[in-house]
Amino acid sequence: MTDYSKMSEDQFRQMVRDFISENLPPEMAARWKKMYHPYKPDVVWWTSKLNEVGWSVPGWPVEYGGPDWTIAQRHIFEEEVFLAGCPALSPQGLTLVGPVICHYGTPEQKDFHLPKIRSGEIMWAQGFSEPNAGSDLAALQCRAVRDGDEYVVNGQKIWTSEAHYSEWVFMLVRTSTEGKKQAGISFLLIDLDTPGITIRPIISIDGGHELNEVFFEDVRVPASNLVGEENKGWTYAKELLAEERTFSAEVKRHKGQLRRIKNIARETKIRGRPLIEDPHFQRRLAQLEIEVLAHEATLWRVVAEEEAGILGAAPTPSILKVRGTELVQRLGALMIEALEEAGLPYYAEHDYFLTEPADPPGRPDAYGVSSDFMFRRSLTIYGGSNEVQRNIIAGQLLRN
Amino acid sequence: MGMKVLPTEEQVMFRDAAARWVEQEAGSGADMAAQWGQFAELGWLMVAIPEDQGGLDGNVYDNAIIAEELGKGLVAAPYVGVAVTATQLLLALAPERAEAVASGEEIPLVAHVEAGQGGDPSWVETTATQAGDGWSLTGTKTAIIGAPLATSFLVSARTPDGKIGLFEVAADAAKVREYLLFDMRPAGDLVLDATPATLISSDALSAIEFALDCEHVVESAEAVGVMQTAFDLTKDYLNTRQQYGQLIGQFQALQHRLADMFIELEQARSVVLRGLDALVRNGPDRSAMAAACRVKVAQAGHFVGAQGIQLHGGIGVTEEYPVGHHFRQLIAFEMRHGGAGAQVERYASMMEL
Ligand SMILES: Cc1cc2nc3c(=O)[nH]c(=O)nc-3n(C[C@H](O)[C@H](O)[C@H](O)COP(=O)(O)OP(=O)(O)OC[C@H]3O[C@@H](n4cnc5c(N)ncnc54)[C@H](O)[C@@H]3O)c2cc1C
Repeated sequence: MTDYSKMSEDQFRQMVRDFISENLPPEMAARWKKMYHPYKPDVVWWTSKLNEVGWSVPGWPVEYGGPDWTIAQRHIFEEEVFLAGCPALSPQGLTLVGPVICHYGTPEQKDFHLPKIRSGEIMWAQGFSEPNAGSDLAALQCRAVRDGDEYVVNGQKIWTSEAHYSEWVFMLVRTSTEGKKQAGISFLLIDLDTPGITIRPIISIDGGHELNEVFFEDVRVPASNLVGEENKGWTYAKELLAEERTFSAEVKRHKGQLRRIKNIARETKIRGRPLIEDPHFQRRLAQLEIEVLAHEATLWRVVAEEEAGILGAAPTPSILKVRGTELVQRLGALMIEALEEAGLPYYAEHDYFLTEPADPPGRPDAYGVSSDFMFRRSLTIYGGSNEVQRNIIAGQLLRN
Repeated sequence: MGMKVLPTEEQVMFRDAAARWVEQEAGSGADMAAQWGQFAELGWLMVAIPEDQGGLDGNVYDNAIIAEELGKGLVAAPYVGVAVTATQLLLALAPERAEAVASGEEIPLVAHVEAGQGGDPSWVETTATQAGDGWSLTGTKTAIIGAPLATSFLVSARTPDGKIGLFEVAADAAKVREYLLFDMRPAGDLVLDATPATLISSDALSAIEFALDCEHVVESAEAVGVMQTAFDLTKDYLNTRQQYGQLIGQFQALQHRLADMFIELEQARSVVLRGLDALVRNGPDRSAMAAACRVKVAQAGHFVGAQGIQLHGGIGVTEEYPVGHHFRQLIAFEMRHGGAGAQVERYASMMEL
């Protein structure tokens, strides 16, 4: 196995680039750069490709197939694959439930699930949120009642990304109503083919379908699908969310956006002159690029502190999330504006992702821009809303 | 302080009628053509037309009052494009045509904007050449809202003497590339390739500028309506949605956000009055005020629309729930005519230094 620890950052980056240029089909990269929703066939194929060299699960412990990269290396990898237009790996299995199973799963669960997650053979959805349990996740009510060696699950989940093409879902379910509400929650793995499960699409404001509602009616789940101990699910869920603390910084997306805005502004001619040469436009772009520079430096600080095991008391992960997501939204707006008239048409994903309609309006470099902008409103809502993040920042500051 | 602030009794009646219509008809699934007949019957297409041309002798204030109500219901029919932009252009250059527009018989849309114009009304690359007795036009006019409904287009084009003329092209005599804008309003490009056209005026730039200034301001009024509904939905949601055992409207962070939304909404409403005042006075600051109006309303609209979604949480990004539709229309408003950034530059080029 390759010893990555001896590599300089440049060597590591070059290795990733070489892999991508040898393996990523250009037409796949071209469609992913449009920034529409994930496309399962590409995701599965690319996951299996990465799995061949052990790169599909950078965050996993070595004994379960992780490549033992440093956090900095993981960030380099993320950035390179994103900027090159590689299919985005589905996070639910690879980065969320995978590590939980590594740490708390039974030997049977590990043997059955981990290889299939690593290879992309089985896709996962995350069934946490419910209609009345959003920010206040611990208020969740989807019940799992023990009946012999099975749990019987009744209730509803919502906002379940990718459930419509996933094979399994990991769930937080209520197994007890006694004590604190956090104390009655368990972590359950459910095969989405089990009778009694209904999945309904939720179309988002970009016209895309990534979100779903999932209904459970007397769904019988083997008790052996419980992860860890009953009523300890909240602890595992919190760890799962903390695991990825620096990966919501979105720096890779900012870099992709900056690059794309510049490319677009080279093409857009305003009164006969490339927009990129307009000093007013340059100033606005520069302002955002400066924000990204400061933000990226914050990410580097947090990563270095995390690697040194000295992550301070400062609520830096929340800073990364708040600023990172808000910058994505601001860059997205400038990107539409840079397209000028070509930014206005609705380039529906179903017309423009795999194909192109006859006689389309606008320009090819505009495809996906407004759709992405619309959908990215959700960045400041999920993963702990930005209001909740600001509560965390203020709470930590004022306690000290 | 000389600005008109309060509506007249007649304007209040228009507003109430428009509000009722929006409540009953908007979202009824009726197509734009059917709605158009109703606009004509209600007199909305003639409010700004002088009495001796068969109109109601009002002005852009009346248009703005109706547009604001239509904005609240996200009505897609191109009221501003026809009853304001095209009507003002015809009143200036071919007033005898206004009556047929007022009656709903003709639905002309102005085809002026082109890719690369960047909000500068004098930048026109479409060319007009004389062909026998008539003219023919070549060029592409983009993102004309309501294009599928148009009976004709009023097209700006550069004539051989370097001036900007205004021409008319019948809708069925030209190629219209139809599509939706990202806010789902039906629109289209007018694709002209040596297309025969009738000359309306051989020197039309100042009339076009006036009509576009009217469009900036009245579309801003429409956008204020769009914002108002986004704001109302959000306020109501804060009073219904519970998390952590309380109404989310009890979180002070959200109270302050709602207050900021309200401040922006009211600033936008005010600047529209200022823009209307500048149109009616038609003084040297008219175009600067129209640009200022568009900028302020666009920026306020972006904030109010985005926060409207944010304060709803996940439901805000769904197609099923309306607040996201309001956001989309506000962003489309912001991005048209070169985008709010280009309009700031326009203001800068015109402001007193
Ligand atoms: C695109 C997308 C993908 C998602 N994917 C998944 C998924 O795969 N699996 C899953 O389980 N969930 C998923 N979610 C759900 C997501 O986690 C929730 O939307 C999120 O937790 C917010 O909950 P809510 O939507 O109910 O909003 P609410 O919690 O109702 O929030 C409404 C508003 O109130 C504010 N608010 C709430 N509490 C406070 C407070 N204490 N102080 C100040 N303000 C507050 C919020 O910030 C927000 O502005 C997804 C959501 C989206 C939008």
